[in-house]
Amino acid sequence: MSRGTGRKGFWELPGKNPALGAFLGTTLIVALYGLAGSSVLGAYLLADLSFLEGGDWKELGSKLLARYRVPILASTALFQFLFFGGMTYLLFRRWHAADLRERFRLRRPGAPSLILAVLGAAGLLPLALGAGELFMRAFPFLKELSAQSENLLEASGTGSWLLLVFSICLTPALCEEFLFRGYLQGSASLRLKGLLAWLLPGAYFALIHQNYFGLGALLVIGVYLAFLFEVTGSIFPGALVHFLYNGSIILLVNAESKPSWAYGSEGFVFPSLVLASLPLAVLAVGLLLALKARTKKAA
Amino acid sequence: MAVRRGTYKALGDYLNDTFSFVPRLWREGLAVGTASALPGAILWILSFKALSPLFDQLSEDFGEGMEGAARLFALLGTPAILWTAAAILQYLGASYQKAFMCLRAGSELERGSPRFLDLARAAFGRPILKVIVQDMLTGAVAAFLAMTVGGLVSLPLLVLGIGRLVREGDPSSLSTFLPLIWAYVLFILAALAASWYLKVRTGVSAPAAILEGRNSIEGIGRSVHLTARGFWRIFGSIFVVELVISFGLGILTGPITFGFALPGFLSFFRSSAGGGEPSLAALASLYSSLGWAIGIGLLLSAIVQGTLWPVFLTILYADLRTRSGEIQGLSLGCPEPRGARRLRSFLYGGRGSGGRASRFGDARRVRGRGMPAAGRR
Repeated sequence: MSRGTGRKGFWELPGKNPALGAFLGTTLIVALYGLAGSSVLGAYLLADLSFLEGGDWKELGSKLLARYRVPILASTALFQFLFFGGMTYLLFRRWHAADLRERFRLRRPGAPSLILAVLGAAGLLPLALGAGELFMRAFPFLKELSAQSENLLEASGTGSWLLLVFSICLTPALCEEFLFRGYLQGSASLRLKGLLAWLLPGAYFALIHQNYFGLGALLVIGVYLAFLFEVTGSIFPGALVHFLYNGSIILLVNAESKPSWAYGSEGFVFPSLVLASLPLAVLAVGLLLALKARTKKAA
Repeated sequence: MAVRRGTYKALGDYLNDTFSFVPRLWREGLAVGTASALPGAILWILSFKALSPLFDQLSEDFGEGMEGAARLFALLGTPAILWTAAAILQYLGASYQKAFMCLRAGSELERGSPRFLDLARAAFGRPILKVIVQDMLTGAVAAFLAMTVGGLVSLPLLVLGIGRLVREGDPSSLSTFLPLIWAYVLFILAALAASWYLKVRTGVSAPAAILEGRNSIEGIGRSVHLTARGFWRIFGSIFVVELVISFGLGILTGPITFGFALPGFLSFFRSSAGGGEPSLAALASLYSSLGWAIGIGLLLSAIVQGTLWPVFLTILYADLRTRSGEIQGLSLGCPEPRGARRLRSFLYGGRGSGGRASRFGDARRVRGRGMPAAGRR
């Protein structure tokens, strides 16, 4: 017996909604990714419970991160490739069976698009950092927690730097962009038009991280990445910006001291810097839109 | 009856059909979900708010010995009553919603278009009772099975752990407790496996009982019969659909419930700023905010999950019947499939002209009160 409606490209058939399929597929992939990650971490903890002995419970989190830093980073990268990369590919081939290069917009972008995307990101970075600090200003204990989790991002040597760049910068830039921009937004834009085509997938990207204290930063960066995918017509400018954004976080964590022109004595970004950098972002966004209009006109 | 090629459902069909229900029937789902879950949610909020006098009294009676403790216990009465009432209302609401959505999805299967009020009234009768009895029975059996299987599997390690504890007698050493920790983990895993087994085998009891006019026990038996073949396929479908619904629900409702809990957290942490102990008033405010967060979270999850889950179960039920050769496949949320006329003819008898009894028992009763026969439309 054949599975008639379960055949290849099911979500592209008349009467089906490929955008719905992409939202459900993305949710499923991220849920399985989370499940696999938690299971591996749980198994690690169960295999070696000695860290519980004679410890201060307050420092347990940072102790755990320090102890399992390499396995956590390595398994995060591995699972991102397996789930966000491999599973997305298989699911897309099975459920959508459309032209992957076209849908995921695997096109070489022009140099102006790349330059403007990076300029826009530079203008938005202080806003993203400031938005991420909002809750820390209200709840000081979050700063302590954040400092504990920063153990994961601290580099101690060349090998450590390489692992960080690979697992925190390169892997998400490739795999998350493949899933959230390529698959989700590429399929969603078949049905969603106008602002919704990039606002909704961008917001979904932020929400799916389930980090409500950092939601502000995730929203800023998620919506900007989605905007780049929409306006440049290519997945690569977003991947580059994603790589640079994550890289800048690692650099800030590992800096001897935070730059005094950007950070106040309490360790928060100056609001004036946020305001001063916004025109750069607005200019880059405006130029990207103009570039898109010109390309469209020429076509 | 021979099953036509191309009528079986795969995972994509389950997801598509379940979620395609939303744009067409969101008004009914929203109305029934809200009506079913709102009373329970309100009581949850009130029960947490009712803790406020307790905190006031706590600050007055602190250190007053037994009399103070007695006054505090007396104040626990109202929240306890409200919690119990909230839990009961929530259970009844969820059962009603399940019964209604099974009936609604069943009528879609039959290509019927019953009036909302007729269906809402019909769900109040036998269907809700069937769901209540079934859920209580399967819940009790699942708990018993989980405890038994979990206990049996973890027993050797438990005995070993207790023996080691007695022999070594050093409760401060982690190695003394290791077998006990492993026994606990094994217990949880075995209990999960047992309860999932039961969940799969009794998964379609509600649609089976409601749509075939069977009683609760027969519905469970029918589900066990329908799921006798293809356990892993059914398990996979249930697992994936549940994962998608619950994870998606968490994404959507998380920020809302977080927003409702935020004022309480703010006042709590402001009160404890500078390393001091938080005031009892701040604790009361925190509980009040948590009450709102829990109430709103329950309401939202009841509306979303309570609507989608019974629809999925009904689709699964229809697919299992198709696979067992009883009916030919129908697809909710899709254009009329090939062979629909023949299927209607099978469901209603005659030559697809309608008018004869449906094979779905309770749906027949609804149609008797104004639901047009599918064949007549």
